[in-house]
Amino acid sequence: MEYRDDPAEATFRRRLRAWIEQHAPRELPHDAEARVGALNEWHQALYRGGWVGLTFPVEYGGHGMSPVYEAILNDELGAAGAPPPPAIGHITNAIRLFGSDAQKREYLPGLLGSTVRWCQGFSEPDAGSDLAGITTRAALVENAEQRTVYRIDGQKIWTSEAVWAQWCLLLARTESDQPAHRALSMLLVPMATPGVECHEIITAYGTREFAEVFFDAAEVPAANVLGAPGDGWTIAMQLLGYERGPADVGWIARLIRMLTVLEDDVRSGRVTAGPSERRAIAHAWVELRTLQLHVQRTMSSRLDGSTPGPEGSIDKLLVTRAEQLLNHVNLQVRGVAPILHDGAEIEAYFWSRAQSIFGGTQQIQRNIVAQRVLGLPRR
Amino acid sequence: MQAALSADQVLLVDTAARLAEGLGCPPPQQLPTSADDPDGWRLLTETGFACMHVAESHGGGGAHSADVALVVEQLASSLSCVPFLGQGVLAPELAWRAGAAPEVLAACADGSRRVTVAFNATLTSLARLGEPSVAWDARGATHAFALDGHDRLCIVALRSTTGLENRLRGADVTRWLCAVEPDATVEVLTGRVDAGVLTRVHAFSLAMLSGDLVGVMQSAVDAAVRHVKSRMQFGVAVGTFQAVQHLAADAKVLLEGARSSMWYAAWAVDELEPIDALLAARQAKAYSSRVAREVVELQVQLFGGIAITWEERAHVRVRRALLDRVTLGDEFVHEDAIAAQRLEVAV
Repeated sequence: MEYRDDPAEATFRRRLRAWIEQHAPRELPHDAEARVGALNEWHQALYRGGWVGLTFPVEYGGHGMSPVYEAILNDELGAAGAPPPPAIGHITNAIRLFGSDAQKREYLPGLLGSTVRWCQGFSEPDAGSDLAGITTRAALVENAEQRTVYRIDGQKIWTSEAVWAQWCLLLARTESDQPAHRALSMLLVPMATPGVECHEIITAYGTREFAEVFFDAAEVPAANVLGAPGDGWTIAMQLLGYERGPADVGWIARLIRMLTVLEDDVRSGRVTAGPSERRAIAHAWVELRTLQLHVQRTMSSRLDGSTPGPEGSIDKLLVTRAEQLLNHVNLQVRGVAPILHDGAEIEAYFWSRAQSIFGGTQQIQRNIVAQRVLGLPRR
Repeated sequence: MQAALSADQVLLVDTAARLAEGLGCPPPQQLPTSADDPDGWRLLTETGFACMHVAESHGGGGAHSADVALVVEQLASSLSCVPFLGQGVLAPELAWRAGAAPEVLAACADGSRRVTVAFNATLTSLARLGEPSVAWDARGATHAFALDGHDRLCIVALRSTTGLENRLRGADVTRWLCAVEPDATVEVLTGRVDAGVLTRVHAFSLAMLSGDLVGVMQSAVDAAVRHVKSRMQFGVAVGTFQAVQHLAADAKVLLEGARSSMWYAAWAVDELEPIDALLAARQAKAYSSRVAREVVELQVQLFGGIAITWEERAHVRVRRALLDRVTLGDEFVHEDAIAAQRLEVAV
């Protein structure tokens, strides 16, 4: 048991902190397009600084380090209030683990360097929590030019950053004669393909990060399948929890920063807090610390390289609990101000409500804990 | 960073679990009514678990604070009635840190003298002589440690050698509480105990109580899951119903969160400065106090009607959780203290 950095980790953290101080943008522009541009520049700067792909194998352009360093990176960026690192863990690992040599050579450099942006087309209007129920079809056909292609028809939703992406990692139904979990394939689809169309979704708090993506007879070469046809479900399941740990560390650091800002406001007198508000602030800190310590424990249990198991659902449920409480406390202590001026507090609050919906709803996570961790029987 | 059990700790947990199984709570109809528990206490001293945190130079085991919490958790998860936490952990810690003579500690470690710790009447701090106080986990104890008005460590005789006459009818049936008589015989053992020392003892005690709460929660989750897997209604095990599964999942999530906090707090006692160790301990005690009640209540709900009978152990877990959570302060006490520390205006 050891909760402190070892000397090498401490050196890394110091070096990183100094680099963030010098390079991190103080604030991102509010306008969506300008924001994406600024994020791109930030991710490219991170790559040039040597902070991207820390755990990724050296032979594929990563640094081959232990996941602890990925956690430190996320922790420091979150604590400094810097924008997060590129969320490429699942796509890069999908290509590394399942891609052909040619695919690895073609796609990994652009992903790591953030010169090519990807989105992930999994969820559908009628397949949110029930991912196996997706209906977007990709039929292997010979097209007008006598080439063998996948012809894609269907619709995806909640595709993050789809509007700005050049490529999509798409889960589609290809093997109509196979049982449910062997019927899906993972396709690599250029977003500029004719027949692919994006419609932005404006969120309840006014931001434009998600989109619906429509496929109308969009054709991609048959070679654009990742792994073998029918591997889609296996790949999706292995990747959904990938690098959940480090990303959680970063998110938690952001939540703690939000609490620290509230505490600063109380200490300085900008916000007045009586005994019950002060107690509520301490309660939020207690919940956040438990979450932080639990995620550290999860990370430590995976340092041997084992992939995340169903226990990851416990982490997700603890994130939900702490984040939703924190936002209640933030609104309680700040009183009527955020109600009179719609802004960051309301956005954070709505996001905390989404926390129990995306990435597998709270109810799905409870099913997983009950059935796969506690071993309760399925019906 | 390695927020995980070492190989040695895994072995220790295994050993403690086997010992705890033999010392587990009997069916509630057979709860001990006598103060004598020679076998249980002898096992704890023979295995070296009693006084395991005390330095070897003082007759103890020299174990790390984190290891002690793991053993406390195992004893609690069998709902053991052996007074390990009071007499084998908290009392020797106080005496050792306060600088009591080695023979005082040696007598605790070899089991020849049975001393527990006394708290004030609200169970929120160490007992001060002259104020009403309660000897905690006093089954079989003849004496209790307390402080006097000058912060000196004292040993107080509990009037009865059996502890029976002064026994309070406490809610927890696994842990005995005895009133300390105002005219009890007192012996002063040390000079003034340094405030930093008391802070560290406080942190240690909170971490160990958190360990006990985690053990009780583990026991509750295990028992409830076993129950819903076998209890049939509508022709199926009730554990197949999602409404039931979600209650069990919630209990498991809270238990694991509490365990993660408790590990850190127990580690911090021996590794961090007293003030930081205390903050970590308050955090763990606040979290575990809050969620332990939630978890034992979920357990009651999962058991259904049988949980409301004396013969089923569910109420024993509720009772132990209720005592542990108020001992040395519940979540509100610690959150007020945390707020005072974190929101303090720097001058």
